[in-house]
Amino acid sequence: MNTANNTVPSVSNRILDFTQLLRTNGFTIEPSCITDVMQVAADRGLRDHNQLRLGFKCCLCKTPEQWKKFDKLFFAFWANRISYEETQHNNASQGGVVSSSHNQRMVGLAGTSSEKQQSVNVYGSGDYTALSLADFRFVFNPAEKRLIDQFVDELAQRCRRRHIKKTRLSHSGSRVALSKSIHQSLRYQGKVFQLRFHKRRQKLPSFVLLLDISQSMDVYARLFLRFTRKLLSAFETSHAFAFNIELIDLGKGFYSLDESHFEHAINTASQGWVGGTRIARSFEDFNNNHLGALVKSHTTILIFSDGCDTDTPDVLAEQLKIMSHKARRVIWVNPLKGRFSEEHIETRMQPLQPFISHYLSAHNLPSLVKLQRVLLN
Amino acid sequence: MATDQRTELSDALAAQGYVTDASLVSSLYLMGKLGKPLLIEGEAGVGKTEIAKCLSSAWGRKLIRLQCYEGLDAQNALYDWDYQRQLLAIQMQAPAQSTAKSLASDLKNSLYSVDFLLKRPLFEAIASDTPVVLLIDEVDRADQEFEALLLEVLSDFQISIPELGTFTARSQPTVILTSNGIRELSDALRRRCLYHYIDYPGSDTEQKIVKSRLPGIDENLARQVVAFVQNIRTKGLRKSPGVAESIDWANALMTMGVNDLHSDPELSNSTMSCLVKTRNDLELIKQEQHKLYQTDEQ
Repeated sequence: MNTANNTVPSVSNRILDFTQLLRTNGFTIEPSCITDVMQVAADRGLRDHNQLRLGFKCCLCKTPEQWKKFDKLFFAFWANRISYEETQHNNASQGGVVSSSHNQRMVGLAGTSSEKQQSVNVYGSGDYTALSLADFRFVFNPAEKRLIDQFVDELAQRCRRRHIKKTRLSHSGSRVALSKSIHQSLRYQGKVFQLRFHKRRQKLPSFVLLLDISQSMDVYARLFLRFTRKLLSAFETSHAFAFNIELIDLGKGFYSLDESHFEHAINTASQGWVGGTRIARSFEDFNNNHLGALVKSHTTILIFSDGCDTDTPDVLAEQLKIMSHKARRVIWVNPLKGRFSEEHIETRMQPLQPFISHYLSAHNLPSLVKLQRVLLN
Repeated sequence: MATDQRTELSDALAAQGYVTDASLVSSLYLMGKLGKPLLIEGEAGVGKTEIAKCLSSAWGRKLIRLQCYEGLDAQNALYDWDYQRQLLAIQMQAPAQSTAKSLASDLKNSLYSVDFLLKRPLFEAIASDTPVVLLIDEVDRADQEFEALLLEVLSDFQISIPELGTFTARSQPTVILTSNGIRELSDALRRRCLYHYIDYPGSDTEQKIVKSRLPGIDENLARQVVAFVQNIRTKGLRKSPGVAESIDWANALMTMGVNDLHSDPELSNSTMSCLVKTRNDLELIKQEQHKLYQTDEQ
């Protein structure tokens, strides 16, 4: 009856090895999935690799990313040319996630204070702490980069989860909740004494993102663009722009592109990661052409820039003033804030401060968490 | 044996005008074989919803569709009590009963019975005597609380009603969930489903789909339309056109009597609204029109 038991032990072991390989590459494989896979193997046999692949893929993948990655891992494992250990090794060199014993800690602790560096363990559980404190500039290991990417993705999605629109009931309001009112009246033999009302739905926050893609922002902007893509997909009413020497409308369709396509699209639309930045001029363009249509009283404008402008700070302050009058708040995220001393940055940012609600950093994971808290407040 | 069943499935879908590949057929076959729901993800307009429709037609089963949206709750998806009828029942029974005590005990037994239950799509699928195809469309639009509601239905094919008990499916429905990836679905939901991702089809497959849906289309026009659409999908539009848009556009061109995109570019452009849905996209297409037609010619 149980077809899963029909697979020979050696095949079962091989399948288990394969699921182990998938797990090390970020797949979540539940025991029930393994039972399904065993059934597929019993049903289709192991000779027809193509059918086996399609069956395994359907049972073991759970996200589009896994779906796209699966074939490569399947062929690497089942082609029999590469042993499991070799596959693991190859994955490490190509950016796959490998077990911690195999993996030397690559994260530098630059950007963190010396006390913090001393308190962090070098290996084992301390790895995560080290990673969380490291400045994004010093994360080179692909596996650790992937961890940060995952965290950034979750961060944006969590923003959405906190703002679930749900109808709630109240004792007052303008729209009667008929079924609840009648339900309540059952205790009075069907006589409607008390009415129940639908409470007005919580309005979803709306964001307008202005991203600096000049050369000085290269390292941080790539990560922040990832955050932007996820945020745009989570909050449908949000809108994004990039700027270097001119303003580029990223719109909303960009979130559906993967990272390489996203970057290609930006490079096509703009002049790539160029040197100079004309923040004031880009903001002026935004204020003249998009502010009225996109920014409402509940909109948060999120600016991601180091503030290095070829125009004078006064011109920039003037544009920010216009934005701050229209938007609910203007949040300026400067990754260099955590890198240089306060005084160094203050000279540039001082004229802008009156028009900025929050001035934050985003150079490591704790600073991104702080940013999330501010966004949801 | 399994190969025969997969071929049959593929033929049955083809008979409904749904062009599919081995991967999707394999996933649909496994859905039936393992008795699990199938979660299909992919861009809008690639034919996710259409699969359920074609399957129900091919198998001659009733299609029950639950369209998800923000705020969807148990009352609209599972079941609800018919309060109006309950109210009438109370008022009809009240004068006949001499004491409040006898009224209360009588109402307790009668008010919360199947007679006063309004079946919503999920309950309808579970309670059906014959197997049905249950389509839970755009599940990512619903709230996370709703996902939790779905878990019992998806894993055990049963619904628990506190007042009545648990209803187990009389015949196991074929469940297909679709998602456009607007919101990340919970792990619990994903775990209970088989998974399939539908990407935009390749040029050949898309041509087959267009021809299958528009049997009278000129071979050359189908090729040009598909080449043009495939090309603009790489341009990073706000809303990339799906297969549905390709079919709409080809249909519009046929209706206008166009057999060659290059013969009358202005006429072709006037139908562009079938393909692109925002002003910015339209402007982008107009700017790059020259290049796009050139690529198409190559």
